Amino acid sequence: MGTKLGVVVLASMVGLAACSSGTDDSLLSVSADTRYLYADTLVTERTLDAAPVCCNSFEQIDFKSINYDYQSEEAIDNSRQAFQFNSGKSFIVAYELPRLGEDIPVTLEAEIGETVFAPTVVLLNENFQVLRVLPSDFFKYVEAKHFKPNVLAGSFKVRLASGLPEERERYMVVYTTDQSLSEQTQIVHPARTYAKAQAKADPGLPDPLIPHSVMGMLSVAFNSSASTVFSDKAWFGGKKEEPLPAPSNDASVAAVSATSTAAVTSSSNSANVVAVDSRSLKKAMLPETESFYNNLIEDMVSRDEVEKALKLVEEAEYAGSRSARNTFIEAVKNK
Amino acid sequence: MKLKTLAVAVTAATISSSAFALDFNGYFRAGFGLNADGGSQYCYGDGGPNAHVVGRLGDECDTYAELSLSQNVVERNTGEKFSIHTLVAYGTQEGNTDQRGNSWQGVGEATDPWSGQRLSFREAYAKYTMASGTEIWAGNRYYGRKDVHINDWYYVNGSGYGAGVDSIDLGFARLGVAVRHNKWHDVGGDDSQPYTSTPQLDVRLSGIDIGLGSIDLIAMGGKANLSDAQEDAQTDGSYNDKTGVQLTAEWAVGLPGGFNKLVAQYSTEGYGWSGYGMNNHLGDSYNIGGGGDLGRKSWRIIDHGVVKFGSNVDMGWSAFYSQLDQDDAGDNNKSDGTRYGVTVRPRYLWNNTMSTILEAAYYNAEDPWMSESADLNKVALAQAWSPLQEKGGFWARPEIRIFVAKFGGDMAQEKNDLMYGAQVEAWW
Repeated sequence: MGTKLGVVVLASMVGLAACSSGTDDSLLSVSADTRYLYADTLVTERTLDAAPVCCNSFEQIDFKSINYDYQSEEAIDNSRQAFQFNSGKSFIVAYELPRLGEDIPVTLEAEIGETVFAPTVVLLNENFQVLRVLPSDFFKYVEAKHFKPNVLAGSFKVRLASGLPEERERYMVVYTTDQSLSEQTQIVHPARTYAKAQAKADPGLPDPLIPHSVMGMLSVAFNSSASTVFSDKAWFGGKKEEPLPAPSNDASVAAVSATSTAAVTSSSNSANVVAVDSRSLKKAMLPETESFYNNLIEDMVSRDEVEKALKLVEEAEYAGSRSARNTFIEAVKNK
Repeated sequence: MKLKTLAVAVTAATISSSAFALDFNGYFRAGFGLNADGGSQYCYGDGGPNAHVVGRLGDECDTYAELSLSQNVVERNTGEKFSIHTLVAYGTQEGNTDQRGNSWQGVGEATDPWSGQRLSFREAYAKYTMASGTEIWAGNRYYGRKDVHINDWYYVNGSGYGAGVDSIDLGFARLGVAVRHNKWHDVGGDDSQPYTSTPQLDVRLSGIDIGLGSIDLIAMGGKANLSDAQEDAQTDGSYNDKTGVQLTAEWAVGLPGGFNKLVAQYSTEGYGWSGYGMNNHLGDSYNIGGGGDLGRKSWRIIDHGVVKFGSNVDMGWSAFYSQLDQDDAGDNNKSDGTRYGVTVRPRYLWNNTMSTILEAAYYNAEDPWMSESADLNKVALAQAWSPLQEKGGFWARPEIRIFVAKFGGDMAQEKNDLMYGAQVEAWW
């Protein structure tokens, strides 16, 4: 009897295993295989070489229009457009940034596997002129810990509302350069990371060097709330946040070969943009308009129209309101 | 609805500002197994004193969890800091039989499968880190543990109550010195001292770079510390009053996706038994047992590691050979023992997530009291799902697995030789 039961259960388990080991569309194998993104750099370079150059200027890039809270894992492979920068050919991730009345934070994390896509970021204004470049060394190695993998990570604010219209950042392109492709990132040996987490002796292994690749996986989070239970940020208590490293304004890194409008602005010009504080520039709105927006927001929240309420918050802020966001939060709290 | 809107509001409106992380680490394993011949899973090793001589896959009969919280209390801009560390561990009763009840809860007798069973406070210590990186610590902690994961085998484990100075930079190596205090059994003779005191000294040189990899050297010493009354009450040979020594040398080399470690160990007196075969947790206690425990000497050579072959295959392995010599020749007039074994765990990776694991092992022992050797072998097969891409390949957890394990050889029990089940293992 026992044997029979055993055979039945065992057979069903083997069945599960068998059907899960097949193609990607089988029941249990729901995970895509992204290991090709971390293939040998000789292979990925050939993939890039074979990809046609999409365009001659930034204007022609197919920008993806995104929301203020856009969060995504972006595979960088030959499904992306390839662009010829002066710094070398690269697959690109290109966004048209949301129109908001304030600057918003964005966090980029390039996941480290056998290789890593070391990102460089260029920010363009509405005329596709370069305002800012964050070179690949802006993105620092962060050791795998708790619930996060090894990454190259960097956070910065996109300047959606700063200064004059032509000083505002409207487009963002993530790419890599020949210079960073010739470099490597040293990570902590995974056995050492594991030993730390489990209070074991440091195994004393040499930390491996990870080659930079033209392909990879990039996690992008606009306006993300970093303070969740499972983040590496504090739950309570604490000291001040580490200051963000100052981004480089050396726009020459992103110089595009085409003689289009994607001209390079001087670094002194973009340095001016850095110094601009949107809040000090913006004129306060009329108190009547401000309370009009606040009433509308409260009204929408009370009718459970949260999305509309949020849109109103954005609109109000774009028009210069400083109380819209707090009104929204209070309204939700008091509901 | 309200919660949902609040969540939206928080996401929309909050940008976090503080970063003084409470360090939350942990581990657990849980699952079940059935015996193909009826009944529950039977295990040939346990996670405690007896490591899994033929590998742990499909041979774990317990639930076990560790939750660790640590935090920096003070950080000065000189680089100095104070930190506190805690770790609690929970587990069902260890042993060869399956003690996992209906659920894991605190009802019934302590030995019932559905009782809360084991709870221990394994880390409670504080550390002062100087600007130079040198650390002073005291309390109760895991200290310098070295293990073979696939056998759940801690061939060095300096854990327990102690104090020490760690990470002293000597240029060519880091020096660590620790004193530990353990207890052995009640030897009687002193009402105010019901248990014996067995202090140990632990000296380590770590990270000696030799060009090709690095070397760690460990020396431990232990001795009974009996009160006058305890000593007066002992007869000759009823406890071990000799100083025992434990010496370990370990050579570590990095390999693609892993490493290789070659370890040589020599252990005497109170360390002799723990340093024999795949006996576990060498260094977390000092045995001052009398009689047959006296005059032991043991040595063992261990090689273990992990390697990745291309993107589809990786493998963990361990191999060891060990000998024991003791004063007591026992009934069959033999005072020496030999144990050896090999475990390999190759794995095929289907994609980012799913893998098929094979674990095959052979173990052979001829202990002083055995007139001839006996062996045990195992072949286990598992299908597993884990975040392979994100969490470092071989070390990727959590891992959800279904397994089947077949045991054979002289030590395999009839009707207890084919197990199957499901298990999860996680760490963070």
